[in-house]
Amino acid sequence: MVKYIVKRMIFALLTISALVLITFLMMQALPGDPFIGDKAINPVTLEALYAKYGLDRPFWEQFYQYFTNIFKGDLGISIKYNRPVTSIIAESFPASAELGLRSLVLAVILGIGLGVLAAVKRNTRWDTSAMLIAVFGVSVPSFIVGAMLQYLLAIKLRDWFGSTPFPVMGWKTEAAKFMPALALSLSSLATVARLMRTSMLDVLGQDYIKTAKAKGLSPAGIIRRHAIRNAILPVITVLGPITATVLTGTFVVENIFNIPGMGKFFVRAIKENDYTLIAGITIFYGAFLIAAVFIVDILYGVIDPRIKLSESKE
Amino acid sequence: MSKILDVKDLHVSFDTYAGEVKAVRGVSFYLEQGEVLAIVGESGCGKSVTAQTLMRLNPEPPARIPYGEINLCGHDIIAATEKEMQAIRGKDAAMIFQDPMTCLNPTMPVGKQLAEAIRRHQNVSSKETAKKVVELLELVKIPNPGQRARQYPHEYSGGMRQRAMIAMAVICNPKLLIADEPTTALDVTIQAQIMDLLADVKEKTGTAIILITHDLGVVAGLANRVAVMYGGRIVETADVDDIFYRSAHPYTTALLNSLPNPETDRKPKAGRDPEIDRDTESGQDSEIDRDTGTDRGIERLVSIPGSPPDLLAPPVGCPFASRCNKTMQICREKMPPYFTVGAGHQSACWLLHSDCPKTDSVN
Repeated sequence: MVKYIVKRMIFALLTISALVLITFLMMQALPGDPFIGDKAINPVTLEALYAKYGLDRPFWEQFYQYFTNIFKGDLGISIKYNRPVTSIIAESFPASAELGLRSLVLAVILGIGLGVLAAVKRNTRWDTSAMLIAVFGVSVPSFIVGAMLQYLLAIKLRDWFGSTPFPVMGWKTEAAKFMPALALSLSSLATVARLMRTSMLDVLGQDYIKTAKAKGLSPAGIIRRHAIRNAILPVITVLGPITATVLTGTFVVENIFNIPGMGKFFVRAIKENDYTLIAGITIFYGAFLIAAVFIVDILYGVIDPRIKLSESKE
Repeated sequence: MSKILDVKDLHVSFDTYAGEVKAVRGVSFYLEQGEVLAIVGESGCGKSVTAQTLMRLNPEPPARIPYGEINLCGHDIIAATEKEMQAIRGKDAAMIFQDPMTCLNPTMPVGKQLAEAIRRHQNVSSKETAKKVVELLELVKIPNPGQRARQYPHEYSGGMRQRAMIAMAVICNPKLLIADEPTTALDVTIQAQIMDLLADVKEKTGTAIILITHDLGVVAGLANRVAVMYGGRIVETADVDDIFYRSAHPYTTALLNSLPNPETDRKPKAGRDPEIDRDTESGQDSEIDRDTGTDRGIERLVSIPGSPPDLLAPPVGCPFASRCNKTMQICREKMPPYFTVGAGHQSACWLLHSDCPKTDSVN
């Protein structure tokens, strides 16, 4: 087990290194310059700025410098904000993380619920409705859902009833946090629901379900104690990719609902060629994602005892 | 002895897209306390459907019970609601299935799966439950039961899983244990162990057993009575000795004939010297001989020609008529009633009718 974890960590580091390199290469290819904007700038000043941020040095030197700094926990100074990238992340990540976590929880709980309902009430109105929601979730992008939620819950609800707990945007109240989380979760929720339905139908046809029935368990007991745990495995597998979807989705949804998260900084950094901030946020997200997938792998072994993490037997 | 199970004229149908499949077409049998009844027949004859109907385990729909009576320990099974059935399943009647590899939940420790049945039907403390689980695993001869109870099914061998299934089935002391082909998925040496274990468990718990199988060899050791099923009907029922030595139905006879005989199988017939055969015949010849088999005196496995009736449109007459070598006009036109051959021995064959010419015996 320890060996396995160490091995995974080494792979994670290699992946992050590759990520840093690719991000660096792509930033070089970006057109534009962080310091040349609307105002004219003195060539001597420009020279001095390049020197200050190390942009006058050869590419490999910049890369090496940056790379070694990462291990010291230093992601450099943002060119535009003139603040350490780490402090920007520390300030904006909590809101993003909360949004991401809320939508992930919504996606998993509602998705599994819908999937189980659809499977148990197969070929009934319940099934059809659940799958209709799923198709809607997969096909409608989150920014449309976000706008629809704003329109329905914040504006129309007030028109009809005189007041509504949902503000059009913001990140203060529970109600305000619910809308972006739902908008962001819908596509993942749909994926989970469809997967859970298929998996559940498969499990319900298994012999051990018949065994459980022959023991005298009630249908609800069979589903709770025997079916869901076995059916949930494929859902755990997609949790990794879903985390990725939710993470990248935060950029868009944060913009729509004006949430003080990382997405805003990331988008602006790319627009303004803020090299250090782009690299910093990319690496942070990358590391976060790798960690998420790693946790999912461990979780898999916990839920299904047949799956042993490969190196653990040695 | 009193009857714990009485089935009368049971019909079970499945509604499918192709139409109504009449899987069971009027089956009657009974079981007394501590008795072992074997239901034998080939695949698709309705034996498993019959067994599962006793506990109403077939999903309804598509399954349907258009007609019949089942009385299990005083409960009217046909009229029982799902809730009432839940109280009966596992307590009055329990079941073991064919494939132990797939019948245990892979994500739950075996002991916990055993404990579930107790917790469902008896009001006992968790400590007592755990004790009972270990006791039962010991009864089915699983070594190290305390430790084994905490393990998952994938840590058990196939034979051990079937033992665990048996333990799970008898844990609430059911009066009836239905074993649906309990040895089919196991290899031969384990089969014998499981059959011995069933006999042992029956001895210790006094439960009655319905043994469903297509293997007559399995029947001989354990069963008191045998019901032979064909085409959704019981064609012959008798004590186990009567079935083996005095069978009174062409299908039973054909089944018995198709059993491989370890005495004569694959040995050259008497009167021919195998040494000479090998020396005088050329290689090519013997190859031809091997194709035709019997020419060289090698006894081949016997099979019954034809295939079982299509239960979507079952024949009006005897279901076996199209494969029987003694078919008469009436066999195809009218379903034979049960003729009493001896004490507790009944057979549904027109050959037993008093008007039937006695030129040839049923066998």
